[in-house]
Amino acid sequence: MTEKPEAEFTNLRYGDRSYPHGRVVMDREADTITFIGEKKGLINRLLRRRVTPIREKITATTTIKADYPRVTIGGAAFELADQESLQSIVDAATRPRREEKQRIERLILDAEKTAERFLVERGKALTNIHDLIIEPRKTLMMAEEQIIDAAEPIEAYRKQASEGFEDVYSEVTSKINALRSHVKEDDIQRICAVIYGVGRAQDALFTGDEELLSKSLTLIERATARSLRPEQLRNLPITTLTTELCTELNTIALNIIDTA
Amino acid sequence: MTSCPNSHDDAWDLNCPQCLARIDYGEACRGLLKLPEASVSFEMAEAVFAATPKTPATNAFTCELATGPEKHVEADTLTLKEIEGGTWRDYLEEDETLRKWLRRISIGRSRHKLLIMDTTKPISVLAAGNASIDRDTTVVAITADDTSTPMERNTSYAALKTIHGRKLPTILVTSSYAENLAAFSESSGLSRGRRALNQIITGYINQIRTISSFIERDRKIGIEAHALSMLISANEIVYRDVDAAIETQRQLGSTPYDEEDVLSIRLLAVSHWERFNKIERAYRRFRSRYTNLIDSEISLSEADTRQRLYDIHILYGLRRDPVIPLLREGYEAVAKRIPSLRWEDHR
Repeated sequence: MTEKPEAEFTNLRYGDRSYPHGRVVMDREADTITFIGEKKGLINRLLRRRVTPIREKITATTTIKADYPRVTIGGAAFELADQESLQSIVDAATRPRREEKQRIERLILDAEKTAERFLVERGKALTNIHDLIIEPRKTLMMAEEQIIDAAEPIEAYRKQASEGFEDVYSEVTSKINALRSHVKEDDIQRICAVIYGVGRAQDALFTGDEELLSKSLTLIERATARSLRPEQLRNLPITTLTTELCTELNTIALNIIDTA
Repeated sequence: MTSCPNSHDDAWDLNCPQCLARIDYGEACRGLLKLPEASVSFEMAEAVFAATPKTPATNAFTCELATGPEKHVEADTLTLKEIEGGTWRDYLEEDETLRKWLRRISIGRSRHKLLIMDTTKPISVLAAGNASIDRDTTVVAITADDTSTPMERNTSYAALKTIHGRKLPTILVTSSYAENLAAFSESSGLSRGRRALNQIITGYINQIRTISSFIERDRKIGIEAHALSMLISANEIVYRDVDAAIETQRQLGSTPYDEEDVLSIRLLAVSHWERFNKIERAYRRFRSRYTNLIDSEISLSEADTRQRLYDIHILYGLRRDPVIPLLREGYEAVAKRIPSLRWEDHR
């Protein structure tokens, strides 16, 4: 496909200007549509005298309607002679919108993956600290030399276990903030509620707090409008629970993409 | 904690159920940076066995320092490569290895700490002086005696001097005493020698709170060296009465000592409660014979056995270590011939 599809148009209306025919040119690189009308009258047509071209920038929010043979792009309404030309012009005109949608999809999925990484790292940290609580000697026995040599090996172990997820947290917040101009605040709220719900469910397994687990799962259910199966989740190891619940994060992300 | 902007707590919904305000879960997520509090707790007691086989005990962590054909490190055993003809001095080279291993297995974390060691063996000096052995560790020291070789006496002397130099409270048990011990329990039957000693040490670990309390009280009045005597699984068939049973303890000390040097007597009895009064009366008569006593104490622990057996453990707090003088001659004989085995030069 050429970078500048063009076609003959008829019946162009653009504000108070109208042209019976002319050429329409789409510039894919510059995302502009240019209408080159021809002046009325036989002489003008023979000499192909043209008027000042109408040029309009096409963005992701530009209105595009196509109902053969009629096409509306932004403020310009015109007709095209054949379906193929129409398809070619409309494809080119909708590219900014498609690309913007893809960009938003990437932003949503990126935020979702980063949040998942944060929760997985947090789950690992809790598992490691849980091991330390259950079998402190065995856990420290396997720890790195620098932890054993620290003035307080237990604190050093805890600190090292927490570093992984603490580092990811700022990435999560910046990626969620990057979504704010593209996604509805309600959707941002749902994503954050699921992240919070998963984190607190991890805490519930760590501390053996059944009530907290129940509340956390309820919050996730409310944010995703999906039912979970608490009885199957409450006996899972923290890392497995995290993986299971992060699928809800993915579901919500795909749901937002669908409605974006 | 999820809270709504109007201070309604515990929402757990996208909007506050009371005022319908939106809950800021972005802000709530910040709370996930903090992990739930949970304290790390170790076994109540820990025991390091050096140059003597470890014995398992419930609610206690036990580990062993040994020598063998190859160096080998495990979670509960450090085997140092045996040095052919090696003396206690040669094994001091492994001080850092031992320190790191003891630190790695978190020795020093339990409330009650024991170091049980055969001081006739060269690695005992290494264990006695290691920085990872805390100053509030109670040492059970199997010592050389008049049946031991001069080399064993030299080693034992060096280990005991190291322990005393660090002011560690010590329960002294001579090799002969340990070899001639006999103990009986309904569960494991009769055991003799070192096996019997291990059984008794297991009993001590099980009663660690009382033993530690005895040792701590002695420490407060400046007593570090102790002897012990014990009667395991006594009954009225063997001993006429409790008086007779306790009286025999005078002859059954774990180390020879002068009665005038006994500054404290602490008795732990494990028996059916019906015998408690008799034991207390017998204990009062028993302690009255020690004229220089500063302190005494009795602890009665209830236990019921099918055959109504009872155990008596007596801890004697001594003015001075009675073993050191017995070892000095043997120690000097070796140190003269091998100057590197002079403990004073290694302090």
